Amino acid sequence: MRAIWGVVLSCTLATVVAGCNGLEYFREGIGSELYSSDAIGATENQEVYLGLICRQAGLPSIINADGTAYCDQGADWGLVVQAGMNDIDRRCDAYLAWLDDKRRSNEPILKELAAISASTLGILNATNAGVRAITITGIAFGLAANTFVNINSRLLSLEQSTIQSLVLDSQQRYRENIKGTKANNRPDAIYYLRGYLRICLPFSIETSVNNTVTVVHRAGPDALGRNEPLFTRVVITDPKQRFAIPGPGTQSKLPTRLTDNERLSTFTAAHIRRIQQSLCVKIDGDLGPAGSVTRRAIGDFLEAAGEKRSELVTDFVDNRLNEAIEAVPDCKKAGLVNASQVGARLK
Amino acid sequence: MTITSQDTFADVVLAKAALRRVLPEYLAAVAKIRSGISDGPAATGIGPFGIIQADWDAALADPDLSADPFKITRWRDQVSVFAIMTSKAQAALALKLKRNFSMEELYAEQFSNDSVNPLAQALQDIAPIITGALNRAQIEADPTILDSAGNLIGEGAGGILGELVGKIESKGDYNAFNRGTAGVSTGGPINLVSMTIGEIRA
Repeated sequence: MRAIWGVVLSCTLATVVAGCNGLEYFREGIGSELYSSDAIGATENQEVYLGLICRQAGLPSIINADGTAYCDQGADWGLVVQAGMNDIDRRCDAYLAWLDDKRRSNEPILKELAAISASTLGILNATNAGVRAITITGIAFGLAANTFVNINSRLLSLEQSTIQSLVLDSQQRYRENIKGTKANNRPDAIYYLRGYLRICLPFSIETSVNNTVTVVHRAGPDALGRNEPLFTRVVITDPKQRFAIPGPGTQSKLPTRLTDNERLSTFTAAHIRRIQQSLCVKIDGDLGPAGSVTRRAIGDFLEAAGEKRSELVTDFVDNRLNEAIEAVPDCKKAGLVNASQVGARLK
Repeated sequence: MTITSQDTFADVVLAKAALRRVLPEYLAAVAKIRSGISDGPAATGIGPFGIIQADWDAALADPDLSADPFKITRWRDQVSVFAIMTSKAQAALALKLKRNFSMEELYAEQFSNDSVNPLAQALQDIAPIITGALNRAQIEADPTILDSAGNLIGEGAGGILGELVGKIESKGDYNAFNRGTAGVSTGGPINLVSMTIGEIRA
């Protein structure tokens, strides 16, 4: 019977915690919807949001009988994007300020949780943690602590200046990157605004931090230099349009990338995983340094395929590896046990 | 191996174009004109770019290419070699004109006996597959990318980044890092969670 009550209390606690005011920030940050209202469908939300932005930008908008504003289809969508980005800046600033506030009040709560489990209810209420009606049992206490620690270990455990500089820098880069592009219509505007909003989502921030940490660890601080965007461009279809010789694009500076081909942005971790899956190597998306298991497997594969042995993925070797991926996408499913067997099949 | 799909062809074209600093749409449009993006014998020569053996041999005599045994009958090798040929033609044209140039001018430089007229239509024809390749490359390169409906279509914050971080922490997964439990023992690896970027840099 006690066990049942424990489960009931745990579930109640989890529900209460999940429903607490402000916890949507923990889960979603400023939210992935441009306009959030449960009563209106997502498409209509976008219309209403853009209508408000149009009004903010002083652009022609249509006011409906219910007072909602819609962008005129002839709107200058470039201005809508600019006004929308300013609005998102405002939301993002509020979110970052909230994060800072939570981070500052976080540590004392955790210390108290660890020290005085029996007094948790009072402590949580006193520190305004937003958790009401917590009638704690041992199990429920564990859940409460874990919930808090898990939330804490996401963004709240990071230095506020780190988060802030990453977000602001990413926002600035985004604005710089789209400077030369044009929003011709509503879908364009939505696309640009979604991209901008994404920068402030918790998982984007976490990824930026992880990325930075990983790059610094692997390649040192110099590797954090800016690169020009490679893929964010429109395909040229006018044969008379003049163009400059394309730049080198974004290059990986990971020390385990040993050739120009390996340093390409198109030479992604996903591509490495496909190579590993084809060559019967442990799939981790990392080529590794010279002499690594994956590189040795590449050498074995080439040798068995009748090519000169190489453990470096050059332009030529990448072609052979792509052929392997095409012929044997999954080594194990093909009944093979090593890269030599894959190579022999291609010979 | 034959070209299994135009998307596969476009993905390869994009990678080789990035490596040799040429426009992928130009490479694809040339293949469209000269072979209809096919790797069989073309009216103009062999493979997707309709290269004749003499031109191929001359291209491979270049020190940039001579180290690798590229074969004219392998379509991926054709893309590699034609990308280099285009890169050299670009450099020559830039030197000659001393200004930016168009794909029409580049085509005339590379295929002086051919009309440039089909280029406009070819560029229109290949635009969707190159756009598709750019999108796929973007998704693979950016794990946090969303589709137009706001759904995550990249790998997410865990994914490969999580694996990498997991490796750094020697604890095997992103969650160990994310919980801040990685590296808690004195003999264990460093706990990155409690460090700022500034501290790591220092």
